[in-house]
Amino acid sequence: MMRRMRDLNGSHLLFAIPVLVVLAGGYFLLSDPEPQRKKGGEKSFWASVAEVFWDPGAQEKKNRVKYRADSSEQTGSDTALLEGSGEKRAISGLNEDGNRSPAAWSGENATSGGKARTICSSVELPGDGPSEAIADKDWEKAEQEFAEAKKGLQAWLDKNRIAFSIEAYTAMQKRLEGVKLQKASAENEPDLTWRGIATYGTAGDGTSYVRAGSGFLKLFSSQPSRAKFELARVVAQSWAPCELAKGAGNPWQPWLTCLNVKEGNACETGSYSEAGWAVSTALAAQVAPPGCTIPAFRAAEQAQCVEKMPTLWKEASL
Amino acid sequence: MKRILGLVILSAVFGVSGCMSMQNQGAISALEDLAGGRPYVEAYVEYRAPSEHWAAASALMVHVVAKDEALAEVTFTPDWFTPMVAPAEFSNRSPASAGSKLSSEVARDGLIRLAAAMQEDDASFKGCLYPVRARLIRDDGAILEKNGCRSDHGWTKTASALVSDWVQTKR
Repeated sequence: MMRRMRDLNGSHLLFAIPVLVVLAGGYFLLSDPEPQRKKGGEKSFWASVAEVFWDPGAQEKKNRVKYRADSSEQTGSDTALLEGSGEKRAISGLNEDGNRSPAAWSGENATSGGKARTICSSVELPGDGPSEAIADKDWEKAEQEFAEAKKGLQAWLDKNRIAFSIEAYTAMQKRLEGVKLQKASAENEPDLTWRGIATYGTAGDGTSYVRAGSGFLKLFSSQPSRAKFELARVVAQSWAPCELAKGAGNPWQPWLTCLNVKEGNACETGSYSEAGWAVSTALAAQVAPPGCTIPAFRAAEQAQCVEKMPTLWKEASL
Repeated sequence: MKRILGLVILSAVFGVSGCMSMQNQGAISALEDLAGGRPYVEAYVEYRAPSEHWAAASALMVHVVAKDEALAEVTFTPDWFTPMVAPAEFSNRSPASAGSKLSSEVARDGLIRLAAAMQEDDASFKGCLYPVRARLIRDDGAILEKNGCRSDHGWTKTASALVSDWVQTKR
C-alpha cells in the first residue's frame, strides 16, 4: 500500500474531487440545523444545493418568513393579555368581516383580484339645474344608499366602540342618526343643482343635512362604487373633528397625528378643516371602498395609520 | 264735475306709479350707497377644494366681467360644460368660455346685491369643510373680498344663487 501511495501523482488527485463532493453533500444532508417544513412536500437535497448556489436570497427569504411567524405569535400573546384583563380589542377592524385589507390601500404594486389598483382622482358629473326636477326613482335610489351609508358607519362605530369614550360614542351615534338627506334646490343652494357633489352642512336650527343635486345622483349609474363611497364620506363628515368638538371633544387626534395632519387653528372661529376630510375619507373607504386607492393613503406609512385607526386611541390612553 | 273727477283719478294714477318707482329707485340707491355710489364691474367667486390627497371635488372658479360692453363675460374654471367623466354626453354643448346671454346691467345688479350681502353678513363658522371666497371689484378699482363657508343662508347663499343664474345664461 505504501508503494502504491508513493506512485500516486497529481492526476490521481482528480479522482478525489468527486469523492470530496459526495462527502460534503452527505454532511449537509445529515447535519441541516433547520428541519425542512413539510408544507407541500419536503424539499429535496438537490433542491437545497441548487438553492445555495443559484438563489443566494433563499436563506434571506426563509429568515423573513420566520420573522413573520414570530410576529404573529407576539400578537397572539397581546390578545391573550387583553382578554385576561377583561378587555377585548379589535386589533385591526379592517381585516374582519371581509373589510378591505391594508394591502389594498398601499403602494403602486398593491393588487386586488390580480389587477393593479388605480389612484383615485376627483370625479364630478354636471347637474341639470334648479328647473329640472329629480326623478322619483333616482331620489329613491339615493335615499336607499343614504340609509346604507348610515348603517355601515353605525356598524363601524359599534365594532370599534371600545376605542371611544362613552360621551364620544353617544355623540357620534346621535349625530349620525340626525343627519337628513335633502335635495339641492333653488331655495337652499341653487349652485348645487348644477354641480355633481353632495355636501354636508348644518342648518340655522342646528340640524345636519347632506344635500345633493342631480349631478351627484348620476354617479350612481355611471360609477356605483364611487358614488357609494362619496355618499358615505359626506355622511361621515358629521363625525368630523370640529363637528364633534361641539360636544364630545376630538377622539381622532391620535389618528390625525399618525397621519401627520396638522391644523394650527383647528376649530377656531373662521377656520377651515382638512382633518374633517381626512377622517371622513378614511371612514368612508372602510365602509364603502371606492375601488381605487386614495392618494393620501397611498404610502405604506399612511396606509398603516388607516389599518390601526381604531387602536390608536387605546395606545394613546395607555 | 266729471272733469274734476277725471283729473283726480289721473293724478292718483300718476302719484301711485311715481311712488312705486321711487321705492325701487330707493332700494337700488341704497345698495349703490353701500358701494360708495359706484358699480361693481368684476367678480370672482371661488368654491375651494380640499387637498387633492383626498380625491374630493375639484375647485370651481367663476369670473364675471360686466364693464361697458352690452353683454357680460362669464368664465368657469374648470370649463363647466366639459364633463369630467363622460364626454360623450355633452358633445353638443357650447364651451363655457364662449359668450353668455347675461347683460352687463343685470350682472352689475347682481354684484351689488352680493356686495350688500357680504357686508351685512357677520355669521361665523368653525372648521369649515366647504370654503367659499368672493372678490368684487368696483369700477374705481376698490376691492371687496370675503371668505366664508358654504351654507343655505347669508352671503354664500346669495353667491350660490348668482352662480346658478350665471350658469343658466351659458346654456
